[in-house]
Parts: sequence; C-alpha cells; structure tokens
Amino acid sequence: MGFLQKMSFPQLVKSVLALFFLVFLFFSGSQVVSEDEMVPIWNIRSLIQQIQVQGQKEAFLLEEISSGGYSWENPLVVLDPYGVSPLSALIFFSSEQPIRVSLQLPGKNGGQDVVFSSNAFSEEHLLPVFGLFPGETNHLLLQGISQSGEKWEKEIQIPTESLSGKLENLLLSVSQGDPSRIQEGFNFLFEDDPKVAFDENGEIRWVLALPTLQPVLYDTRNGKKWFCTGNYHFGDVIIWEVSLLGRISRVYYSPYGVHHDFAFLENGNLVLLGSENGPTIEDLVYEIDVDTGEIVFELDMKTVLDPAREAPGSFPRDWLHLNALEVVSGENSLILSARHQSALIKMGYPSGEIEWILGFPEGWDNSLASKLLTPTGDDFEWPFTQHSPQILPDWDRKPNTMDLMVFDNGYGRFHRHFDEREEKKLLENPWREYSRVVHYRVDEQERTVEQVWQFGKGDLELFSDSRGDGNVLENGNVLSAFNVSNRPYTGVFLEIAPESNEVVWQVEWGNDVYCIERLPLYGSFDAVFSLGDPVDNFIPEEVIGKYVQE
Amino acid sequence: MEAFFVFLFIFFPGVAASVYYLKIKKKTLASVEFPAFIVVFSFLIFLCNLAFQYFRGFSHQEVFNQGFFSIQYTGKYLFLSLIFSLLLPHVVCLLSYFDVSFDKFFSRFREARKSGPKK
Repeated sequence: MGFLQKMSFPQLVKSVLALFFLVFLFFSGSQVVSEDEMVPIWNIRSLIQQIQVQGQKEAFLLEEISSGGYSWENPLVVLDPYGVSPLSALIFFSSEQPIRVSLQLPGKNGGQDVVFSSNAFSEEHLLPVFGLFPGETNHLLLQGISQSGEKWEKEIQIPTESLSGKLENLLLSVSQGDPSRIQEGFNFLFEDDPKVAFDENGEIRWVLALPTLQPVLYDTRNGKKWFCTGNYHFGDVIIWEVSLLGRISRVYYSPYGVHHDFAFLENGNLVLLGSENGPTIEDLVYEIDVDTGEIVFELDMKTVLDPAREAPGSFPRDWLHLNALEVVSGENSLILSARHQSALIKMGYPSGEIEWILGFPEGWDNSLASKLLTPTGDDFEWPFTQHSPQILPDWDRKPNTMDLMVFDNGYGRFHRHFDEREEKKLLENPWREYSRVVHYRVDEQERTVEQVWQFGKGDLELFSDSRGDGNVLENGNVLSAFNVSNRPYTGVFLEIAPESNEVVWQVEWGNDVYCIERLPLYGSFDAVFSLGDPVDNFIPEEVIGKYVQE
Repeated sequence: MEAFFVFLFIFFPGVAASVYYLKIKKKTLASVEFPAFIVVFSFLIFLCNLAFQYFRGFSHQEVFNQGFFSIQYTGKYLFLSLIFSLLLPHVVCLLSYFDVSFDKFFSRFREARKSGPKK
C-alpha cells in the first residue's frame, strides 16, 4: 500500500491511537462538571455541615454554662461562638439577684456607639455582642441594674483578630458632611463574598463567613436575616434564617434556585424568584409553605408575558431576568422587576393577572400594551434594565397612588439592541449612559406614572450597567449603591438628601456591589437569644444525603 | 505581563507541538515551516480547548467571563494544551498522508521560492 510505504508502521499505530484518544477525550462519558457547577455543591455541603457543627458547639456551650462557675465577676466570654462571625461574641453569667443588663461599645472617630439593653430582669444572662472592632482589644462596658435600682458597672475586654484577605482592602475612601444628617445604623452589604456590615467611617463591624448567593439577604421587620445558598438557576438551593451571631434557625429547600430575591407573603409563606428546568431561566415565581417546606405554587412567567419581546439585554434563554420582587401590602399582588424587559410589573398573585406595566412602550403585544402606564409630567424617563424596586409608604396620602423607588441602571437607554460584542465599547460609555435612583408615582386609577425625584442623571462616572440599589431611610434620605462600570470591582455608596440632592455621606468600596441596607446591629430577633433550640430544618433527608456523606 | 500570559496560553503549546511534530517527521528546527507550524498548532490547540469545553462542560462559562485568567482556569487550559500538543502532531501526521497535507501545502511555497519571483 502506498499509504504504508510513506509512513512507518509504528508511526501509523501511534497516529491512529492519537486520533482515537482525541475522539475519546471529546465524546466519552459524562460531562465534566465545571467549577461554576461545583461551587453550589461545595457551598450547600458546607452549609449543611455548619448546621450539624452548630448543634455540637451549642451542646458544648450548654455544658460549660451548666458548670455554674460564671458570675458577674467572672463572666464567660466566647468570641465567635459558631465560628462564622468573627466580630461577634457571646457573654454568659449568673447573678445572685434578678438584674437587667445593658452593654455599650463606644464608637471611634465620632462614630456611633453600639448599645444594647435587655428588657427583663433575670438571674441568668446570655448576651450577644455585635459590632466589635477588628484587630484590637475592644473595651465593652457592661452595666447591671437591680429591681431596687442598685447599679453595677464593669469593663470586659474582648480582643479580636485583624481582618485578612479580601476584607482588608474593601474601603477605598469615605467622606461625610454633617453627621447629624446621616441616618443612624450600620451598612449591610448583600454580596456573596464577603457579607459585611460597616459603620459610617467605613470600618467593618460584622462579617458572616458562610457561603451565600447574592444578594438575597432579606431583613424582615423583626430583624430576621435570611440568605440563600446554592444555585441561581434551576438546581438545589437552601434558604435559611440566621442571626448576626451566625446561628441558623430555619432552613428550607427548593430545586428551582433563587435569582436574587424573595419575600414573605402576608400568609407567612415565602415567595421566590427562580428558574424551571427548561429552555429559559429566571422567569419562575414560586411559593414555599413555611410550615411544611413544600412548594405549593409555581407560576411560569412565559404564560403571562410575551417571551418574544425584545428589550436591552434580552435573549431567548434569559428573556425576562426577574431580579426583584416586592409584596404589595393589603393586596394579593406583587411588584416584579424584569431587567431584560426593562419593566416593573404589578401582577396579581397567585392569579398571574397583569395589573400594570411600567416600562418603555415598544414591542408589547396587544393584550399587554393595554396594561402600560402612560407617563405624565416633565422630565419623565423610563427605567432601563433596573434593579431593587422598593414600595414607599403612602407619600402623597392618596390611596390610589403607589410610590416606588427604583435603581434605573440605564443600560440600553440609548441602544435598545445590545450585543455582547459591544461590551468593551460599553465600558467606555460612548452612548453617555447614566444610572439613576428614581422615585416614580403610579396612579393606579388613572393608569399614569410620573417621576417625582431622581438622582444620578448625567453623571457618567456613576453609570452602573448591572446591579444597584436605592432605599429611602427613616430620616427621608436615600441610600444608594452604584456598581460603577468604568472602574472594575468598585462600588459607590451614597446617602443623598433628596430635597437638595446633596450627598451627605459617600463611600468608595473596592468590590462589586449590589444592595445596601442601613440597619441596626441589634434587631429584636438578634437580641433575644437562647442556646440549644432545635433548627427548623425542612431540607429533605435525600437532599442532605446527596451532599453530606455519613 | 498580559502579553506573557497570551504567549503562555496560545503560543507556548503551539511551539511545543511544532517541535514534537518536526521530531516525528525527523526534520530539524531550522526547517522553514517551523514558524508556520507554530501558528497552525497554536490555532488547532486553542480550537480543541474551546471544543473540549463545549462538549465536556469543562469551565465553559469561564471562557466568556472575567475568570478567564483565573489560576484554576490557566492550570486547566495548560494541562489540556499539553495533552493536545502531544496528540495533535500524531493526528496531523496521519492527515499529512491525505490530500490535506501540510507538507504538500508548504512544499508549494518552497518550490515557489526556488523558482524565484513570477515574471
């Protein structure tokens, strides 16, 4: 054979074997699990293990406490009792008579003090301590008062380790004007890595070292913190309640993932955003019964909206990109933020009936076009690829209006058909795009929308093509998070006085940012504390078995 | 630094594969085709890496994300490139006896150079 004459037989064998091996490499066996797919598996496993470890740690602590050797003079101080919150501690002691205890950790550089008082007189005292400064000995002032008014006071020293790794260099700069104009509280960031709270001076005062999705920290009115761990899209996800001390108290499971948000319905159940195992993602609304942990309702948004409508960022697989929801109090309805339709949608729940759509009017089919709100007033602009809507209290005292604060990313405002290849151009911002925090007022009777207030228009430095937040604080200021696009891994937090649009507090942060909340360190949930309570764990046994080998 | 990484990523496996190919073909590195082989093998190895990720789900998302130059990804890419730089020269060797021969293709250039510029 001419073929063999040209090539030696050993070389022919090698070449054929190489070809077979190459084909084998490509097509044999199952898919190699990518790192992106492994991360949720590792994270769920470590969360389930943490729940088990938590039980062991509490058993050890209870045994130590029952030894009876801890008094006002000699309290038990445990830094980071669950091993996940290094700037928190737990104090235990018994007193000879019932006393009420308070503790105070003075702030630094004019910063706020951390103050906590127990409500009741007791002979046994279990006090969580939050907001310790990292890398120093914290001088905590402990005060006791008896029923007869007798007072005691003592100092407890709690040394902490310095923050390391990514946490070291998060604060780039902080500037503030008149401190009296800044809303009190600590700034909680809802990132997957890291989860921190920092004070007005930018100093980190709380860290939670447990793996989570971003942002999905949900703070309920009683201060309960909720996170999710696992998959954003279709796949296992664990939804869990935790105290700032790191004690996990309730756990739920879903196979539908959680994409960025969930809320509590008025019936107490959880309503979440996720994805079905199908050709599209981030277009599922589902409900978990909090008493049984079962999924009791699913609504595929393809059945109520038009997946064919084109809008900035949309593509067939991710046509909707639900990224936030709000429960409308007193009504059976939700406000949904659909980034890839650039629309805020009020939808009856569980009916799925669309009540109105706040979004640019092009491209909607006839049935949905009739639901569009008509803009009124001057200077109105539609939101584009928005995030983080917040329903505001009744601003104008008119029952037929709804006030909404929205982070309008503005991505696609001037180029509606975005192409991935234009990513680089976008970073240079040739369209002079800008992001805004906007206050819209929807008149539900007249079916109109007006723009009441905005901040950020025209400021190209603050343009954030994805993610961002804007919340109205108790003092009326607006706290916002800009995930700025033209500086990678940088975020800007601003507290704005809306009457003058003056920035009263500004922090530049060396990480991507999404949501920010100004919260007290001691919510009522975190303040009341007991050891050894069982965890309400609704993860099915087979799911636990899948992740944790006995 | 970035240029070094690009070289490491794209051309280094191509250089290794070309050296190996010339060794199989019992030719010296001074061969005029050597630079051309580097380009061809670099391209083929890069293509195989992308195809591998597509078919096997191996870090497929990272290619298009910021994590492209993560340490894990670099390690995986170079490991795969090493395998491809050992396999591909043999496969090309086999192909070279069909009409898609590189040698044949490059021999046209050699003959053209020998015969001088066209008049």
